[in-house]
Amino acid sequence: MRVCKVVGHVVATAKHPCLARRKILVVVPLKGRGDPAVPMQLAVDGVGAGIGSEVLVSESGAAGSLVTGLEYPPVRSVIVGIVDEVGGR
Amino acid sequence: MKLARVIGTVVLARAIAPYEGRSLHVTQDLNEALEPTGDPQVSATWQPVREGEMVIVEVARESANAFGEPMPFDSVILGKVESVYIDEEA
Repeated sequence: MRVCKVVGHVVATAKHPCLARRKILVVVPLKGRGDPAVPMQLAVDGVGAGIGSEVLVSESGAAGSLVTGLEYPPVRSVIVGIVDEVGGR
Repeated sequence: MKLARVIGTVVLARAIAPYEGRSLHVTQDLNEALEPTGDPQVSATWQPVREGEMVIVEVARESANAFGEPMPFDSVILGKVESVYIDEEA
């Protein structure tokens, strides 16, 4: 899991059924913002996050399963929490 | 998941059964400026896509689940992207 910041969203009408009615947000690791070598990362929103939110992004099939309701989903990038505070920065 | 652009196709002369008849595309990851970054990769696709289109790509083990029964893919195109909004101030 990584702490990331939500910086945008994508609109995709033709997509896999597991993504239907799901908000897909653009997230960047807190230390990766503005680095052209860092690919844009997308995550399915599971908690109602918005642009500017600091969030916890999980890269696990189990999180994808919870959000999509599928036992074996083709999705692993999921926003699983909104960060209130991170200590030790 | 990553945002990528379709930059080509791959046609196999011979393949293991799960790959027969599958559309395979070369995809290039995009960064925040929607510029290409990293090395291109080959992705299976869940729906027809065309060269130049922006797409959502999922990688790793979960991509094997995009076709109902598990398939031996490690990168799959899950959708076509119409628009991307990035808040520069966020």
